[in-house]
Parts: sequence; C-alpha cells; structure tokens
Amino acid sequence: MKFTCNTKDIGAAVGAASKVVNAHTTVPILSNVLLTADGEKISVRATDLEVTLEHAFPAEVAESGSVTVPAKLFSGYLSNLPPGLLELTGTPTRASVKCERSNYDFHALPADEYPPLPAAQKGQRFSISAKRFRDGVNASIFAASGEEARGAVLMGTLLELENDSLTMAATDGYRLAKWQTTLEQGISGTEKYIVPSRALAEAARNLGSADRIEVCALGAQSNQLSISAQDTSIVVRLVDGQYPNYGQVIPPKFDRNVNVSTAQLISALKRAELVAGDRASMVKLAVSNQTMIVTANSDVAGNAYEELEVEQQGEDLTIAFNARYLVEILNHIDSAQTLMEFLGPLSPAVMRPLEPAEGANQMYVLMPLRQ
Amino acid sequence: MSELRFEVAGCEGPMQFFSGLSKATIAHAYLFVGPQGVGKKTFARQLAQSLLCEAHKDSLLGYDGICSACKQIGAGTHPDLMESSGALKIGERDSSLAFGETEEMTARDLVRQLSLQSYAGGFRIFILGDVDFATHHAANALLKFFEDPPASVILLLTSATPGRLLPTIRSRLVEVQFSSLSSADVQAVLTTQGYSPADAKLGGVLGQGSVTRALAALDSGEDNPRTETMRWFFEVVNGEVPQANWVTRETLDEGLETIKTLVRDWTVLSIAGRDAPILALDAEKNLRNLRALRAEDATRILMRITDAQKLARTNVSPTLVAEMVRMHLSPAPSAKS
Repeated sequence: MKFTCNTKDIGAAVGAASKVVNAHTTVPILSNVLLTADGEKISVRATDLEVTLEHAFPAEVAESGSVTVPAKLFSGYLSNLPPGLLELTGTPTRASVKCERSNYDFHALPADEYPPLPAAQKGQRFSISAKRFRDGVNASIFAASGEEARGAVLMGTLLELENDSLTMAATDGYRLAKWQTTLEQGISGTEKYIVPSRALAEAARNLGSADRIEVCALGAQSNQLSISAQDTSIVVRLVDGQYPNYGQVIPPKFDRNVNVSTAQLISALKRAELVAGDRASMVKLAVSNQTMIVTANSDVAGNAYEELEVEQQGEDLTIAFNARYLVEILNHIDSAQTLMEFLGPLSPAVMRPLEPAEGANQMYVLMPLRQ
Repeated sequence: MSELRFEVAGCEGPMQFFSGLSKATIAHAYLFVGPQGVGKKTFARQLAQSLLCEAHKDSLLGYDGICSACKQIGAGTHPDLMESSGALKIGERDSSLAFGETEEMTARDLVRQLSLQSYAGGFRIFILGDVDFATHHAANALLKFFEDPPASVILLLTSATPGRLLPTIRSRLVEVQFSSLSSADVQAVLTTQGYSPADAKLGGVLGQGSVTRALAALDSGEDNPRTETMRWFFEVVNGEVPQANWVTRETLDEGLETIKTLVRDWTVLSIAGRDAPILALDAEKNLRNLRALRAEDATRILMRITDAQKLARTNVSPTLVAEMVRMHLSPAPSAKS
C-alpha cells in the first residue's frame, strides 16, 4: 500500500483510534491500529474486541492495501509532526513514513490477522441528532455500576426503543438515571439493547461533534450495535442479559414535592458531605415551612447545618441520602431549578429539571438512607 | 471445497463421542479428564476451531484452516474464542480499566466476556485449560454461568485432577475421558513436532503415555528437572545426601514420576537380569551399575513413592515429601558399608 495524506488528518484518526486500544493486551496485534487504503480514502481501525472504532479521512492513494502499526507509538509520532504532507508505504512487516526530511520505519504485523468487522446482517436502525445523543449519554451513563462484581448488565446502559421514542436508562441499584427523547426517524416496534457504558462514552466523545448519528443493530440476534456519523463508526458488542425492570422502583405517585435551586443545593451538599464523610456520606434533608435544612454530623468531624429557601408542596419531611450520589445527580440536571418529589422518608425520591431541555425528558431516582 | 482437518493423536474415544453430536445437540459445558500431556487441550482447541470454522461440513469435527475464522484463531485474535490456563483468581481491580488490562486472565474477565454477545453471531467458546479456581470466590463468580449458561456459549474445561473442582461445578459438566497415549502415539506427535526418529522413539518410551512428559524428558538443558532428578536419585541410592534442587511445587509430581520409573527399571534389572529392557534409556549406564535391589525393598519403595505422589497433590511442603522419599531410597547402613 502507498498513500499521501495530511499529517493533521492521520494524526487525529490514529489518536482517536489508539484510545480504544488496550495497552496491556496479551494479543500483540490488538496493540496495533489497522490502516487500509482504498479508493480515495484511508480508514484507521482499532479494537479491543469489545469496542471497535473506525475513522476514515481523504488521501491520495497510489496503491491500495492494509498495514497494522503499533497504536501508541504511531500516535505519539504523528502528534509530534508539523503540519504538512506525509507519505506512508506499507508491507506486511513494515510501515515506512516520509514527512519532509524525516524517514521512519515502524515494525508492522500482518494485516490479514487483524479481526475483521462483523459482516453481519443489519437490523433495526434509527438516527438522532449528535448533540441530543451526547446529552442522553452524559445524562445517563454515570448512574451505571462501576463494580464488575455486580455484573456486566448493570455496568451497561439500556437503550430502549419504542417506535419513535428512545430511552436511555442506567442504574447501579442505588440510583437510576432515565433520559427520554422523541426521534425524527424511529423504528417500527420495540427493541432493547444493553450497551457497555464505556462504549457509549467513546461514541459520545468521537461522534458528538457531528451533525447526525446513525445507530444500527448488527447480527441475526442483534449481537452488536453500530453507531456512526460521517466518517467515523463505532461497533460495540452488546451485553447478553436481561436488564432489570427499572420501572418498578419509580413510585407511581408522590404526596409532596420541593422546588429547589440546583446550584445552591449542590453547594450546600458539597460542604455538608465534608462533615458526613465517614458515615456513608449521609446527609439529612428536612423540609418544613418552605425551607430545606441540610444537616450532617459525625463524631470525628462535627456538625453541618445549611438552610435553603424552597417552594414546598405537601407535608413536612425529613429524608436522608448519600450526598455524593445526590450531588452527582444534581450535576447532571440541566436546569436552574430542580423538582424533587417524595412519597415518604423510606421511599425512593425522584429528581427532575423544573424546565426540561427542549425535546428531552430527564428523571433520576435515588434510594434514601435509613436514618 | 478444501479438505477438513482434525488431528489429535490417540483420542479416538472423544472423537467418536463428538462425531455423534451436532451443533444442535452439543452440551454447553464439557470437562476433559485425563493425565497430563494426552491431548486434552489440543482436542479442546481443535473442537473450538471446528465449531467456529466457516466451512460447510456434515460432521461436528473438522476445520479447513483457511477461512477467516480459522486465520483469526491461528493469530489468537478470534473474538469469540477465549483461552485461559491454570489457576483463576477472582481479579478484583479498578473498574475503570478495560477488559483484559491485567497480564493474566481472571474470573472477572471471563464473567465479563461471558456476558457479552457473540462477535461473529455464532458460538462463543471458552477453553479453561488445567482449570483450577484459586479461591471459592473465583469459582462462585463463574458458577452462575455453569448453572444457567447464556445462549450459544460452550465451556471446555480440561483437568488432570477433577477432584479439585467444586462438586457444584463438576456436576454441571459433561465429562469426557482421555486415556494415556500409546508409545507409538507419543512418538508420532514428537515426529510431527520435528524431533529426530531416535529422539521421538526415546520420547515415546520416556513419556509413558504423555507428550508433556516426553517433551520434558527430551529437554536436554542443564536445568532440566529430569536430569537434576536423576542425578539426585543416583546420589541417594549410592548413600549420599544431596541437595534436592529439583524440588519445587511445580516439578515435584513430575520428579516423583521419574523416580518411580527409575525404581521400576532398577527392580527389573535386579530381578530379570542385566540384559532386561528398561524404560529410562537415558539413565541406562547408571542403572546397570547399581547394586541389586531385593523384591520386598522394591515393593516398599514403590508404595512409599505412590504415597508421596498423593502427598504432592496436597499442601504439604515439597521439600518434606522429597526428604521422605530420600529416606526410603537411601541404603540401609549395612548395605552402605
């Protein structure tokens, strides 16, 4: 293979792909990125066998073909090149790069040993604006479990499709994030995909600046999901399992609610958490007379007391939460005011933006702590 | 259509068993049981390759070696085939790390891979060679998958000591027995691995039905445990008290097997005469120079070595086991004089 391209284009493509590469893999070829020259473009692919990222950019191709080069090394080299043109010649064992007055030879591994993209049949597909997709990912994946011991299902995020409705839901058993939007181009019927949250974060980072994102299920049993935009695509293996029926933890009705300033509550909780640190970050919220009192105490650190003005409807209430979880939820609420809904001190509480962003519904459920 | 292959020496029984199955009737988990070095892992790898091979075939066994799946298996990059060997630890670590970001495979890695859908849309195959769970946590992390396996997952476990597996796991596996190979089979395998006819013949005898043992015996390096074991043996039976440098947790069992062979040959030479055929051809000269061994002493020593082999599979200090064997091999004071 032989091609000439812009150093900036190849640097960006290899840089993005190398983030997918697992630096500690025991399979040498998976430390490499695959460069394929075909027609008038070069595609750069990297995989850890769970997430595969492919990015294409234009180039002047003199000879078609493929070569694999060590991802981190090549990415480091490219990021230090000045703007200009680069010529790459690839053989099964070597990739030679010429750029201005520098010549480099990189050891390569045979490209035909690189795992191919699954040539699976395509299933249901939908498209969504890239910004909305990124918003959905940001609003939901943080609530997924980070503990491998709790299983891959809870480490994933559920993408639930019902005609033109898309819901992203993630839970670790203590909190639940649910984000819903209406698609311009939906699917017919219903589909559920459990996507590794890491892959969604990768997709949001790499595709978030595009205009629209196409999502397509691959394989007879929808084993994989392709998320693509313009010249970049991410193929991710889906989690095999049954996602918990998260709707069961959302109380069907509430008997009191509080409208509170999001920023003020975050600020108060962060201060109170410093005191509550050694007691599972437990803070108490006491709502009474249009006031919320945030308290925390510990034998070691002392006592915390914060007062906030709120709009209260319904009876008074004292409820305790893990401050860290509550702050994390509030950080993802895209509204100056947060609506908190309660059924009692031991029932799950719901938080949502008072003025939701256009075209999307956000909702968070948090389990209270026993006081 | 290219010719299909499936070549595992001396495994006619398992081959017949799997030939009678189809992709629809194959069970979700098998335990290949048999001595070390008889082809259990080789069979498991070739069975996995047969199941993943894209070539059309009437039987379950056989792969073409040239399709995309076979090439990926050859390169170790097939996403639907995972292989681990030895003791599995639970693998608690920072959850921000991606799958496989440790040098060794852990039970958590396996659980994660078992939880993902197939890459190519077919079977997902997991080979756990010489399977052993370092802790109950590791075993329990995988138990759910043995009880209720995900669709299209096939687990192939191999073990020379199946008794070490939890009964709850073992009861979920279909056991397939692999017996010791014939000398001719071992010789054939060594020949295909490039050994000269003379070395292959010697390996066939010394291997005693195990290719692993034959390879260890043919290893002529200075730190070869077999050479070291034989040196220790002859010094002991000649009344010396040498350092047991060959003794480690990993080499003890193999070393005791070598000593057993040497005692067997010593007995044969003592009873049947100096011209009797022996197994340890590489120690022939030393064996023929040994004093005669009485039949009752030979029986006693062989029984004690068998006891030591049992102890070697427990948590007893390897050095103590070797010392016990040394005491029984050492000549009585009168014989020494």
